[in-house]
Amino acid sequence: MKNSTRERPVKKFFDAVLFREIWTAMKVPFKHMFARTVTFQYPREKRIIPDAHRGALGLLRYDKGEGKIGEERCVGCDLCEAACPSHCIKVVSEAAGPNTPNPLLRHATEFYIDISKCVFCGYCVEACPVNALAMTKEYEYSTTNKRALIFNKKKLYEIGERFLEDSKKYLVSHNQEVDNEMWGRYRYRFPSPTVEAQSPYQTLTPQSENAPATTDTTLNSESHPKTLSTDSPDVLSQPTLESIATSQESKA
Amino acid sequence: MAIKPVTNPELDVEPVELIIDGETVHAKPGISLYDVISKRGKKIAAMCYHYTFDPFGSCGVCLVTVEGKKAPVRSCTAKVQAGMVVTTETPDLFEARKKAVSKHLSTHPLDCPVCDADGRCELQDMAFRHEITNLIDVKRKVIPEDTRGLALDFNMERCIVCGECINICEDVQMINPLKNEKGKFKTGALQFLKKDGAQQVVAKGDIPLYCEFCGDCLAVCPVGAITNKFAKYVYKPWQLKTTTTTCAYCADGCEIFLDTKDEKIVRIRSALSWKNKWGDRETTAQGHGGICARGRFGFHYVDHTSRLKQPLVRRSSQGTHTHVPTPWIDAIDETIEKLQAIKSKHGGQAIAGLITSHCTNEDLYVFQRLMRGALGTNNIDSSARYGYMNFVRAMRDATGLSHSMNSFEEITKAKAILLIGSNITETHPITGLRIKEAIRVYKSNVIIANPRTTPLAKLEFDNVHHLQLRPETERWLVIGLVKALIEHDIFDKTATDGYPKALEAIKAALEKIDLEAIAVKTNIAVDTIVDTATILAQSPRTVILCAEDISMRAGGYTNMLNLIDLAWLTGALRKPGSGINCLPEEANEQGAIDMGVAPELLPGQVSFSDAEARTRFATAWKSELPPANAGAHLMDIFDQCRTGQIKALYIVGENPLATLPSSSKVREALENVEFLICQELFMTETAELAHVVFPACSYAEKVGSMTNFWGRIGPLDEALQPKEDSRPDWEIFAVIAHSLGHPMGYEGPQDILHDIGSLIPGYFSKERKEKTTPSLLPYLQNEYTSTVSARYQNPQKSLAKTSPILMLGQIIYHSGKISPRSSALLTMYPNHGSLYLSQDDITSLGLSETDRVKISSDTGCIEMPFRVDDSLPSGLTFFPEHFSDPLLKDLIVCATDTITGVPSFKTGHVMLEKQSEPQQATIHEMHAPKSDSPTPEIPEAPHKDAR
Repeated sequence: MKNSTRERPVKKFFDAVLFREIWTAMKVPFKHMFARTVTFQYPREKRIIPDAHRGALGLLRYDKGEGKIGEERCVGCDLCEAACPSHCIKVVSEAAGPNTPNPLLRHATEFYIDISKCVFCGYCVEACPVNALAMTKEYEYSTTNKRALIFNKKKLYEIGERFLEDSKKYLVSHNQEVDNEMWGRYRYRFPSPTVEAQSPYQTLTPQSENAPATTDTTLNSESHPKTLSTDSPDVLSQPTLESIATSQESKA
Repeated sequence: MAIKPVTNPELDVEPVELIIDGETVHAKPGISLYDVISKRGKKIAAMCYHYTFDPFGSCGVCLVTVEGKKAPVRSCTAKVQAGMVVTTETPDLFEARKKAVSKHLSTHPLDCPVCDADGRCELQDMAFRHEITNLIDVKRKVIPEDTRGLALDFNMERCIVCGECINICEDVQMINPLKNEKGKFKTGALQFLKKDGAQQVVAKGDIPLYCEFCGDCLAVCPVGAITNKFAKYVYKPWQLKTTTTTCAYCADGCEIFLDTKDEKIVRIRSALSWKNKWGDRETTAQGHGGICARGRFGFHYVDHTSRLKQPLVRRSSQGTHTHVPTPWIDAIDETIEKLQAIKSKHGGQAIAGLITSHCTNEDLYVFQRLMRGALGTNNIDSSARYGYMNFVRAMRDATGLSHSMNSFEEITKAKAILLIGSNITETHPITGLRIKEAIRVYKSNVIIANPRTTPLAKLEFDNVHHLQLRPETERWLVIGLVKALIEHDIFDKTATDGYPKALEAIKAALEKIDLEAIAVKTNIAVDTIVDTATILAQSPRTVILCAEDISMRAGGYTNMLNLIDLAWLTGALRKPGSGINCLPEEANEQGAIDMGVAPELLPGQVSFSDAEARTRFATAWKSELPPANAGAHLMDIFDQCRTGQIKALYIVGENPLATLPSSSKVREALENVEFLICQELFMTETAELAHVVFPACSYAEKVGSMTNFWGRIGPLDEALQPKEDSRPDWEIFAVIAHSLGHPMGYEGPQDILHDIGSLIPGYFSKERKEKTTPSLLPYLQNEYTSTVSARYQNPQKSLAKTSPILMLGQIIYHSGKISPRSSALLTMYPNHGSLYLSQDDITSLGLSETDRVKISSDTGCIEMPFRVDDSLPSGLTFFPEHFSDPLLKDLIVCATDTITGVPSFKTGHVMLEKQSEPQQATIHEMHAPKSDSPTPEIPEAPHKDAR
């Protein structure tokens, strides 16, 4: 080859003295030093999540316009449980019962989603006939306690409340709800009961110890073994990396 | 309805030809075209049809094209005619059916996610099958949900007005018979009513529904209009695990489906449902597949929180004793120690065992093998002794059979049925339905001999005859019937052909009987007795059904022999499709007999002293059997406990302290026993006295089999795991036997089945009828002539007015003492603690609304509120036997049959008085019974109880 360094000892000498190889290699990094950065400095900067993003699940309520909390949307129909491909949802439903404004209302008394099993496919949200379930943009709920990843009903409604805006946007972007829809067209109307069932016979002494002990007629008696914890630890209020960092900074 | 079912034997016409889908078919004219089509295997959608009732034709989905008719025809109401040409599948028919289903859907609220029928709904299936995606003219009904009923909710928004519920109640259940304004006789508890602008289904008279709660309407409703109140909203059908098993309440032995979720029973379904509607009409004679309130709603005791979960051992300290939960190993060790000590010191005869007939065949077999083979005692008995044993002993002695003779189909198709001593619709509702079908469809003559106007007797059909005899005079009626047969020479000559000596003997025995005296005693006219005898003798198929009001009596054995005489002389023992049957109360009493749990019997219905059988069993069990002709039955066991002869008693599932009256001194017997073992589901009164209590499994947690009263084997399968440390009964027996040095080698119930099958060949096979032909010859030729005369006596002429009789009996909602532990059944019928009196008695006692009645006998007195029961005749009072508050059973003195030892404690003479000043509802003594105890007996305080 022509111009090889073997035949040009002068070029070779100057290349070594002036570190030419290094400057050739450093061309690209120096060019990028003045280019725009693309790295997100998480947790100080966070991506903008699109509306259709499938994040943490939340349960919604029928809000009453000014954002006040209304009744729960969930009717305990178990369709999300049936649709879930990971079988991570468990629902226990019941009638509202006597002494309530709508005694034949069906609702879920217990609702668990094991978020550690959830694959965030969104089938449950699609299946829900009353748009009670929605997905939010939240993804920051890591925890050191695995039990905290079984979201119970209380937790799910909290998520729904906290991220109400995002939930609504999700539903709108997935064509499940119309924008600005407050009450929902898909609300079930439960008939009112005629009157409480009365036995034509009266018991002797209902509270006496003579009467054999009766048990609840529904599955939600105390003897029903609760397979999942009733109160999962509060995951989303645990310190995030950001808050830990700021607190450390303030200590420093 | 004019359309006759296919199997009506009266439909005596020649079949005609018609063409269905190009094939020539032969069918009787006048029957439903739909039945013919579906019998060929072609299933057409039909939403208002079920094979158990006559076609109704309201839904309009079962359309077929008939040549010559412009529009499609509803095949259910179309009658078969000669030369019809029928096509069942065309694109036009699909569109027509689609339109019909859309019409139903357009007034149906799309409640599927919140409806209990979601996933198991005929309208859903039809909508899917007909690809309905658009509805026009949608109109929604706004009607409140009828929640007045105790077990069923009627959501009339969802009702498609198919009428299945109304029809099945009217045609099959036939309850609540009323004459409508036109004087026509109508049955059924439900009706259509136009209310709130829509056609609704309500209870007749629009009152809160209170019926027998069989749940047939719930089962056949094709949509979610009728829902189960006790399982409202708590499940979706696809979450439930279904187990096919047999109901363990009564001797009908119905097949049920247990639906469980998360190791709890959610609901029970019957074989009958809207889904099984393509059954053959002929199969209704074998049973329509439905169940009763107990079977459907009486399962809550299985998951009850007070189920025994661990073995308990009694420990005494400072005079009191408590039951301490103990691990199985320790409890068994202690039991074995005590049993072995007693056996070595006093011999096997110092040990006894009692077992309930609610156990499976496997449990019963292993129990008697444990007692006889391992413990060396023949002092065993089962609850079959409470009445059924009289029938079995009499049948064995007279005919060689140890069981009832007729199946459901034979009862349905009989031409004459005598029902004596039984309130069958309360005790055996499904057999009662067979009789109702016999009345309505087959027009049989049904004679009901009962002092009460039972629900069956209220059916005022021409072929229903109610002989309202005086209480406790059943045996005289039987004697009267036999006398009438002989006196008027109407007995079956073919039946008596081969037995001239026996015929002479009975004629001589009946010489002295005076029909007039019988008529006075029973209050049934002589003509009626003769007519009844004529009906029974002349019908081609005669079935006799009896139950505890005649079998569970002192003298019940003799009653049974007299009844067998009646069966013989009417030809019921000879004619095909005829026979004599006894209805035992508990589910597996026939199984208890078959498994030999009685001192007289060995498994396989052989006598305990039968030498060949004894050798066979001794070889199979590898141990000696206790000596023949020794062994105490139920009442003797208690006697021997009291005297101290029996030192150890093993009670399984029985609660004699709550069952037998206090005058039988069961408490003394149990307290005197050195070692009492109780094996139970709940802590009962008897278990409180036990030294060791073993927790047993309920029927939903066991694998096994039960034999119903006519010999059908019903398999049991486990739907749930045994609760905590409870174990199946057979397993506990096998462990005890093993620890006593007699290993049985049973790894599972299949091994026991194998054992039973090898020792009782053919027991589990379907062809078990080889021994249903009664052989009267040995009986009639031998002891008959000498014993018959003593059985026929004239009733004593008593001029004094008989005192009122208290009757403890069963009601439809309950069974034994375990059903009050099911909250659903208790909701349907709680213990209101009132005595039932007839209106006549109330008037004659001068009782007003606020008064109370004092009922007393030699053994005590109780004052309690009262209610009227219009089915009672004057002089008869009634109280359900399932409740121990107040303890009315203690007013009765137990009388025991001298031959069979069967105790009779359900009826007794009492005195009734008015009690004006309200007092506390406590039991207090009037005077001490004539016994040696110095202080008056204080009846046991009411406890949480079970049987």
